[in-house]
Amino acid sequence: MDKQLKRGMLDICVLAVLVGGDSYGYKIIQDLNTVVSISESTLYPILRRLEESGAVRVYSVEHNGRLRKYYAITDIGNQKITTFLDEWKSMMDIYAFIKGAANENE
Amino acid sequence: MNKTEFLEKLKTELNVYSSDEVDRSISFYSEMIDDRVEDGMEEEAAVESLGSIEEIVNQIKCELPLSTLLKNKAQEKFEKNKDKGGRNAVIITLLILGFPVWFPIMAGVFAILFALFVVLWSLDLSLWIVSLSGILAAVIGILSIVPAASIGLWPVIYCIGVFFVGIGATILFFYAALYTAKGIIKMSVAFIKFIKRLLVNGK
Repeated sequence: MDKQLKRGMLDICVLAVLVGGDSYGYKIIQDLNTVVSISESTLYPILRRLEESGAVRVYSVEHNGRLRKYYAITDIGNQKITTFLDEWKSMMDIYAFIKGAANENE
Repeated sequence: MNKTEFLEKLKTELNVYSSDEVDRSISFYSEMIDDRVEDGMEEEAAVESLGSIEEIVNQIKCELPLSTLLKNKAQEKFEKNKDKGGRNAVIITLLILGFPVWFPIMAGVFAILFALFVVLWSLDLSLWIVSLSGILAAVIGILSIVPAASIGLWPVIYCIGVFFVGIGATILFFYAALYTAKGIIKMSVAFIKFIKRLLVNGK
């Protein structure tokens, strides 16, 4: 898949995981594994980007004597998902058009 | 490689960045290793599965501002060439001798980019000005209704017309200016990202 396209999608995938509840790094990777396999080195900048743009909120929780960072989705994050879905709706229309044209040609 | 070694190595690789940047990534990767170990993985295997340090560092670099990247790149180059004194001298001599050639070219490239930037924003500025003058026309149109009434009906209708045309132009050009500005900003961001990728990936 196009690198740039995938990059933008992964941001939304991470947000989508957080819609189901606050989560932490390792868990996010596991939850995503069913749709897309993603490495830590990919997730780290995504989470930073999302934090900086205010799409997620970060807090620490003590776990087994160490701190674990939890991520929670914010209103801005939810808005990002909505925008993504709207954009892809028109993308899917284009896809259907192209597919229809290609099938007709066969 | 165990956890301590891995984090130590990551720290050295990131040493040109701010300590805040280093602390953040160290705590992130440390948590990742701990979580994997808790999940039943051996420590060494957990470190192994994080991938190469080079990849991790590259990903972090891509998120930094362009100015920091340029500075770090220059510093890296400088440090690398420090111990190769002889080659360094040759490069410096060539740079100085070649100055009449490369300087005008570089200046030209920058001038073109800058000119492009100025042209785009001038276009946007002119759209904003048209939008503003629309408001002005509308206000004048409204204000002139009273004196126009003393002349007759047609001048009043004319003034009302000026008012609506003014409002229309304002709205139309406001959106044109707004979307042009957004477009220019998006383009600039994409361009900077492109340059960044060249810098980080280029050895």
